[in-house]
Amino acid sequence: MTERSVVVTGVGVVSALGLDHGAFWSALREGRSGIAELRGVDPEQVGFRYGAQLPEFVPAEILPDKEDQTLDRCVQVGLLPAREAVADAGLTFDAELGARAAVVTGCAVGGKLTEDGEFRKLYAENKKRFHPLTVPRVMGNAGASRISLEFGITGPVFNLSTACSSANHAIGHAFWLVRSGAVDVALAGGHEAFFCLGHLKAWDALRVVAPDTIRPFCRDRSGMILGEGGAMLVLETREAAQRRGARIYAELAGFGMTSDAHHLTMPSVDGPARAIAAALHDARLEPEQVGYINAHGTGTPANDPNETKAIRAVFGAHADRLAVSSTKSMHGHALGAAGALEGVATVLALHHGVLPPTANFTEADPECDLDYLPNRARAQQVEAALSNSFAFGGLNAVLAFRRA
Amino acid sequence: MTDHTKPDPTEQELFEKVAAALGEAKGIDPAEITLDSKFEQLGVDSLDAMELLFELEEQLDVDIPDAAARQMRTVRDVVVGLGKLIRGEPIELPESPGEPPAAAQA
Repeated sequence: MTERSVVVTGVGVVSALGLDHGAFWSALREGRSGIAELRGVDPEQVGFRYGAQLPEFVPAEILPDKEDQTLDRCVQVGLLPAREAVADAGLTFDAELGARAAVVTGCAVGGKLTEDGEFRKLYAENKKRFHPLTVPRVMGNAGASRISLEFGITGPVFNLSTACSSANHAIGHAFWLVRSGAVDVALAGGHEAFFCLGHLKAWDALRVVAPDTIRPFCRDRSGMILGEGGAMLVLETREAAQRRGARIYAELAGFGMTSDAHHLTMPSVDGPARAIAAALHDARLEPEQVGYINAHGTGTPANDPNETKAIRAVFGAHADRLAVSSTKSMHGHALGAAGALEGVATVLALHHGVLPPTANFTEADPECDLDYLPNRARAQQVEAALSNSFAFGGLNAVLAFRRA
Repeated sequence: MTDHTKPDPTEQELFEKVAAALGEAKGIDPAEITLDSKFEQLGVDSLDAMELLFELEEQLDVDIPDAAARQMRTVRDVVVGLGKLIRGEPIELPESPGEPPAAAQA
């Protein structure tokens, strides 16, 4: 049996750049950043001042159902892009399709806002009672389960938590489920919302958050900027998409994953390089076919030169002919959702023939010597593109997309 | 806040605190630690260094700014930096962030 081709037919995004994928893409192609002063938490207490939070919204307007308004924000930012992606794909789930469908999400830290609020009641306000729905609100699979309920999806439904690689692991596994024939359609992506004092303090203590903004690959970079949001992709077979006349954004062609087994937080070159090579191999792509890489690009001192070396290790001389950008410079680092936001950015780059830039770019670090698309998008139709995620714990996951 | 009723600790006292904290965290014999010991020589990686600075911040009730923390590569860097923070003096930083020691990739 020949392997099934898997395509992306719907996308949905909520992020600091807006509440749908149209707003997301407009900002990316304009190089416009959603980073702003923190809201809802006191920067003096947190220790850093900037983040990429969702624009202000009235919950009743975008989540008219009362019950949805009581969900943890982390689940809301998964449900919203799932609805958008399914509508965008023009897909309707009946019982039969629901049983042949999967939901695979990446969510690394779960319902931190609910948890922080309940802990505050206990430790600071001397209250005795927790809300009875605390557990189902904070569990990591709350988003995946809520999405399965929404559409009546009764096949494989699960969440993956692998820090900053969660969404790429999720999309990759969903892709393999569809390609293998285990399911016919999958909703895959990631969602994360954690802007509360308790969690932000943990990031501050690690000393990796920039005091002003993120400048990936630049000499004067000073760390990452955290972001919240979610993104979902509808994956189905090319055959099914063509049969129902669906628009195909891009083909999801390959997935590669490795572990560094090197250090809890410091990356190796070898692990990321092997993950990139594995994704190319899985996609049956030659390195020379790749024209764009959406980088992990966190803007930390360690990641950026390391990722540059890993790209050089795989692509050799071709590294000088491909474009690389970090869209985290615009939507921030959304942890478990990062790969989903960046996967949608990569899919839309292939679809529109426009490569999104690295915003806030000043001057390249001498150790970062690739074409990082500084500050301006480039109109360029590439044949294939990668999206990199490299997590704490040394877990690397890379997706390979091909033009539809 | 720092207790101003006590005299500031001397450089020797700070050195002993740093050596003791390093000894405790990494199982290093404090007698083997000198002011010129480099973290790298002691097998202290970037994450270990963050933990060491956290421990010293707790003990001495000071906040070491991120940019200063990233510059600290030797026991002397830490002792001198802590001394300045305790006396309320600024910690000068070189203009360029220098070679990245980096806590992590995130």
